[in-house]
Amino acid sequence: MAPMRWPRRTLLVLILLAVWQWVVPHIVTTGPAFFPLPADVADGFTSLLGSARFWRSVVTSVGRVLAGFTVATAIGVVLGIAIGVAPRVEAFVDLTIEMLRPLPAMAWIPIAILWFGVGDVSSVFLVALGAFFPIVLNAAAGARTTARDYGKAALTSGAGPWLRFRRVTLPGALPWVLLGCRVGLGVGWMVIVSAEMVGAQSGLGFLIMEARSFARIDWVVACMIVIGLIGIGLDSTLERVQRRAAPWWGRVAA
Amino acid sequence: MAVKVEAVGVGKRYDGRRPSDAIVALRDFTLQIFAGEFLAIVGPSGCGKSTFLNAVAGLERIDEGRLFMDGVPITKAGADRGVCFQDFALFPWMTVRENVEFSLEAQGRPRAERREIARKYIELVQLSRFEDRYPYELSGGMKQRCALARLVAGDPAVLLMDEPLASVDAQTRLILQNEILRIWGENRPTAQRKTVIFVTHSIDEAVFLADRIAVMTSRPGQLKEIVVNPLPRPREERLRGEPTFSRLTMDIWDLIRDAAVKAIET
Amino acid sequence: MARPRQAATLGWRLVLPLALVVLWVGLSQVLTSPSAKMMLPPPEAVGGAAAQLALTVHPLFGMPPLLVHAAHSLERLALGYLAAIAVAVPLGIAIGYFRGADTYVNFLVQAMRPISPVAWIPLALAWFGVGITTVVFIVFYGAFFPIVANTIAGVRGTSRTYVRAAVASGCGQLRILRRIILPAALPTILTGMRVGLGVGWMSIVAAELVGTQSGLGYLISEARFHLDIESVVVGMLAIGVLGVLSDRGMRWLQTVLVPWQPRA
Ligand SMILES: Nc1ncnc2c1ncn2[C@@H]1O[C@H](COP(=O)(O)OP(=O)(O)O)[C@@H](O)[C@H]1O
Ligand SMILES: [Mg+2]
Repeated sequence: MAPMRWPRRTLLVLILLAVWQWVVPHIVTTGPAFFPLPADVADGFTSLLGSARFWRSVVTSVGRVLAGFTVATAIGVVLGIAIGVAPRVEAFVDLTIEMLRPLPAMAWIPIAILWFGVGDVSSVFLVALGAFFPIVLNAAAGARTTARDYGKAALTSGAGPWLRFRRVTLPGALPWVLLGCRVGLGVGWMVIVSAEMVGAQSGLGFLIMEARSFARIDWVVACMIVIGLIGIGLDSTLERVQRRAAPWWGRVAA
Repeated sequence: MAVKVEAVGVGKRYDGRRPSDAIVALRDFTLQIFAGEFLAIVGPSGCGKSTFLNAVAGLERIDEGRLFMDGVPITKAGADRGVCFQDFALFPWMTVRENVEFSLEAQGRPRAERREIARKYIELVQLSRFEDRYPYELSGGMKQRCALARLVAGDPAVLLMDEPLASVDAQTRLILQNEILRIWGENRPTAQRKTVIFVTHSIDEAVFLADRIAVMTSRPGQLKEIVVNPLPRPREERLRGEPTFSRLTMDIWDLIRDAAVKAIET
Repeated sequence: MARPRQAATLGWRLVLPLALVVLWVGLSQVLTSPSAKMMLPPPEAVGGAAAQLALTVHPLFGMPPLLVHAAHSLERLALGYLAAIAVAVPLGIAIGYFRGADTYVNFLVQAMRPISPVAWIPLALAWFGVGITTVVFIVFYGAFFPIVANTIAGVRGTSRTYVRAAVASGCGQLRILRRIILPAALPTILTGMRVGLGVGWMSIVAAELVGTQSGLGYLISEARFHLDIESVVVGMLAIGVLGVLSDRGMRWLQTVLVPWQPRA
């Protein structure tokens, strides 16, 4: 059964593509401008990959996401761990966090444009905002859970506060932090595309909207696929970090 | 014999959300544990055994009475009292060796020395082949042995064990019981033995291991009786078949049966 | 050792929010130039805009504009979200339960998943034009994946022991599905529905920013265009409040539908 899966799946995809290419146009008659055919998309893809503008857009968007993500990680991890270990810190910030969190980062796009103008600064701000909450909440949960499950064992081993922090709190919270980073990076990637659609003159989000306004649906679909692939790339990079940094994570607890 | 740990009229209350939810876990609990002694505590579940152990460890504050170690009031956790938790609480991000080394790291010992001491204890619990494995790669019995090695590596004077064998299978448990006696120092003169407070719900385990068995009442936990164990040391497997062994087990069961039945029903 | 949650800490918890409010009021008193006001509107201006938007009847709609926009957003959210549930839950059950669906459908679902709902906006605009359909589609797409993923996980996570126990007591396939697998998977499915609702909110704002002539996303986008920052802030507050309310609603639904689950 198992070895037959992928050949059959491939066959299924080929059939679907064939139906799409040769059968659907006879049923849906609005024309290929609205309904991109596989062959057109493939052509669009090729011309896209050959254009310098496309590659500049990719670099711009990925750069913005990484910049915002770095800011969010720096602040989120420090604050999250402080929240997890110190009830006073938690009490100090929890109301504020709970008030800001329900607002999706996309809702900040207009005000970010008013504050920072169209371009890099507002993009980075929006990504940082979107990525911040998953990171800070996971880091806090990680530090708290570690203290709950392993704090006593650390105390009775006679370890002082610094050693407990370095050898217990930090490594214990690490898998949670990385999980938060993965979620945050995913949100950030979504946010940047959205922000560039509205508030930028560059980047993949801008490019895809522009392609749409030129009625280049083949490019639109090609850009969507690229956006998906970059998303996979970003996530699997962090997943690999997660697996290497915390091989015990997700296994039977000790 | 010198008194190592002493509890005088200890009381502990857990406050609930409302005053009526408060639980009195220990009331007027008085007990002396001698240096080099292996003392077991048995009692119906929920009677406050863990609470007492945590109080001795310095992990839980007491509300009434006093608690001493070597005549000094216990205020906080310290390396002189090692704790073995029921769920082991091995650090999942440390290998077996790192786990065992941790209390030595806490003492600020140099790396080479740490290694050497850890190796000795890992050998003692027969985990040498698994030194560099993470806890998730170990079986339940191996985890328990690792926890034992971690417990003794820092050389605490008092070993506090809270149902350490409750989650390993019955056969492994018999083997580990012998191992615990060895680590405690059964073969050494009393002066060189550690002091052990061993909480268990298994009466025959208490009888096989302990010098004295403290039997607790149901909650609020008080001392019901202290049974002195006449079985000779070193404890050998064949003792388990002796009439004395069975009689002692039955006697202790008689002491807690009613409370134990009540504990299940409530 | 319980974390302190007493009244004594309430004051401490209020320090930062109050400080931020004071900072806002203070800064808006000091910075009074028109350009500064456009960056940081004074509280009374925001209050005025809120009153204007929420209380004054719009001549065209016959209702206050904020309510109209909120109603439009909620309508699209409800349509897209309910459609997502209607498709994702049965599909997730099929994938989790039947090997064929797993083999031939799941990989297609997983292949679509990385393309974020936001990336679909241009194509949806091309297909459906500016208007409700585009927004509903984006919400549907955004909410769909968390729900389907959790449904699959919930169905697969159902302990084999339960199923065996049911088979041993003579249950048929359908009954097992209805009486064992669905209830066992329900908590996980509801979690997915809650996450899906959150993604739905993100998606709807993103879609309304570019794809409609109404809705709260349109409101803030349009206000930004007119440099009307007060209305932007009011729109953001409305989005936040509705987001909180819908999440509370989902949490309440969780406690009602899964009474056997211990509360966190
Ligand atoms: N942190 C706590 N908060 C509230 N009640 C507790 C806490 N820890 C233990 N208790 C209660 O105190 C009683 C004694 O608990 P414990 O010492 O764990 O019993 P034992 O170990 O003998 O089974 C139990 O009724 C338990 O429910
Ligand atoms: Mg206990």
